[in-house]
Amino acid sequence: MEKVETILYGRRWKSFLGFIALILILPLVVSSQYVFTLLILIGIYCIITIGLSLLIGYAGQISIGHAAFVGIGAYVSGVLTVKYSVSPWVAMGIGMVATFIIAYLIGMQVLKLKGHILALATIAINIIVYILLVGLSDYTGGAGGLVGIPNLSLLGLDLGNQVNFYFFVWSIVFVVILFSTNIIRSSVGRILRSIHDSEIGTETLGVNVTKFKVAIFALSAMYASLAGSLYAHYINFIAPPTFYISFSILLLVMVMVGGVHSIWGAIIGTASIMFLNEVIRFVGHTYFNINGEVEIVVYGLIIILVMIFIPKGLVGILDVRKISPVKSSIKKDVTIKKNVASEKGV
Amino acid sequence: MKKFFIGKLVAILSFVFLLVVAGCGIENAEETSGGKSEEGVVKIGVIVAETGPASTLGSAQAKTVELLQKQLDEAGPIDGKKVQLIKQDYETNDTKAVVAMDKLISENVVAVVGATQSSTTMAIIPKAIEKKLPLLTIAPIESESEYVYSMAQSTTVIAMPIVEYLKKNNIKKVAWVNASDGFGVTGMPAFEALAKENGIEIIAHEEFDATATDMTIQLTKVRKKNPEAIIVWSRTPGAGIIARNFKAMNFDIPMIQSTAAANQGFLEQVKDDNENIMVVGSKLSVIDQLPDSDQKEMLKAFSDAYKKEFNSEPDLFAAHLLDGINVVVKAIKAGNVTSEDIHTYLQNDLGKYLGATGTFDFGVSQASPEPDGISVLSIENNDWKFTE
Repeated sequence: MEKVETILYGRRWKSFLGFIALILILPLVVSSQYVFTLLILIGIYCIITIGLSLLIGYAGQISIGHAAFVGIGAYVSGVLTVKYSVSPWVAMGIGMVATFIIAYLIGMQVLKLKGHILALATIAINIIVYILLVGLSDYTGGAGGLVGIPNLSLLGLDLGNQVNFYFFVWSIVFVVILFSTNIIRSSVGRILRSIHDSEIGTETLGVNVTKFKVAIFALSAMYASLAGSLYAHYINFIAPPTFYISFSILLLVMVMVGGVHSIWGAIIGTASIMFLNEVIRFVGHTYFNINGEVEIVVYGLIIILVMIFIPKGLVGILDVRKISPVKSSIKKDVTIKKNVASEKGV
Repeated sequence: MKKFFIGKLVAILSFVFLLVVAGCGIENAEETSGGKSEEGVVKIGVIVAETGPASTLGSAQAKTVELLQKQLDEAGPIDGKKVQLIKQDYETNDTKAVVAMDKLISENVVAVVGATQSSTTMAIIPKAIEKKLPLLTIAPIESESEYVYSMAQSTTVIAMPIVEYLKKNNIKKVAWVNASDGFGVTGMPAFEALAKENGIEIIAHEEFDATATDMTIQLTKVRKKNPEAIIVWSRTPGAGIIARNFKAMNFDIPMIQSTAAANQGFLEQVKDDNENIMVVGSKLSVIDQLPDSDQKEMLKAFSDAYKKEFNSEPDLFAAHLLDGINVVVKAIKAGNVTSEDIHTYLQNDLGKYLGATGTFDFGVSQASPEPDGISVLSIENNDWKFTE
């Protein structure tokens, strides 16, 4: 007899196996420094978008301010390593804990808001953090940026090397995915989902909704902080404009395009947007001789099209073949079928 | 159940692979297009902010790249080698600049010229050092690395003509206002040191957000301190906005702005009301008013070619880029076609080089050209006026 968990969510080891295989195969195909940088950035962004996916897709809250948490992580790592010569690993840990606490405190207040107002409040958080990063120039280097952030090294392995860093980043992504799917498959995950569907309904069941909302907000902020630290140690330089609202929006686009209701959607969305970005630039420059930010126009178009035709994101398309055992064994009405389908991305 | 997952897995894998292959395809396509005559092509990378907020500086640089590529094509191959300029627009986004740098490295460029902003330049320097690639920077930065050659005047050198001007006009108390961005914040320390040596005191210091649309508050605070001149360190459009506020508030002291304001955009912003407003600008803007010299001829040749091509005037930032590429081309003409040889050539053999930015002497310093290419310019009849 299959475990209840498997019936509910399906097995996940095959997705994991495919994921690991892909990560291992890619370096054999790719040798260019350029593509490696893209793959590493995709890895780093994935960590953030997975967190966002938990927050948006599962808990039903929104954040257009996650770049702020990325910035906090990056700057804690940067400032501690550059100005106080703290070990990068310790700095990264401090960054994550600090971000978790900050996000928890912010979340307690902000998550009382709903819908558009919540979105606006998160934008405000982003702006506040941006201003602080620029203004606290004695520590952060201000608008000129923070120079000389060291590369990471792990047990004598130089992570300044791109290939090593690639594997390092993606193994972290793997751990993050594993951790996140565990959350989703636990009772916490089911509570989050029920908050997503009806907050009042969940509250009437005696669940402390606020506690879960704030916790998941802080967790996704912590992911963002981790990603920020990795970014800082990879690029070796950070400046405040990197962590402005435009980056938050880009992250949101990635999650939306991939599909908010699935962890894998976040990853697919991130990879698609990053490659699309480069493809559009290349095609625009080479064949149409268009200079500048063509991709923004295309982003807009994509978001509209995705919202209209594939509201579940790219992962939704891949779900077409679904044949659910739950559905086939038990007679259910259409709505429940849909819900089961949406849980399949886990 | 199983079918579902396998199908999904295959779909996901093939989708991601498709994207990756698309990504690689681009790279391969580029490699083969250049690879056919890999022997006969020398590539120079250029990273500029053609779009985004820094495009006020970057677009003239991007145009200069086009102009130079055209001139290089017309001149024909150097020793049988075609020089190809590969321009990357980083859209005023540091992360994109780093990706662009990697792309250039993947395409085996021999040297890189860029980037438009100081902060972005700091972001790409580590990559250049790691790959031992000569990086000819076109924004005022401080770097100790032997691979970094600064084509732009260092902040100290830019401040020199201002201090000269202040001394000449016997001004002892100045107010300092800067934008709080990468360019704005670098000015004060350099100027302060230089001013101290010359007995000039900074009696007020204000900052404004680089994207702000009104600086009346800062100017009001400054006015209370009664300075004899106001020095502004900001890019346009902020530079122009504060100049307009300054006129609206009827100040009767001079305002001196940095090189970042020495462009056509700034002139248009302060059109018809620009008395007492000065900038540190390139002699490129006042060629006809200069005394005859080699420098004048060289500037005129560049300016005329640029005007003919784009129907607008080149500025100091275009001059930085021009010098950066010309220095590398000069090295290539001397028979150096690898980044290592070019680096050695620049280190040991180039010596003095008269550029559009000023005179370079890498034997003495690779941190900045001499201040002979810039001067304090005033505005007369809505055009720059050379005051020496």
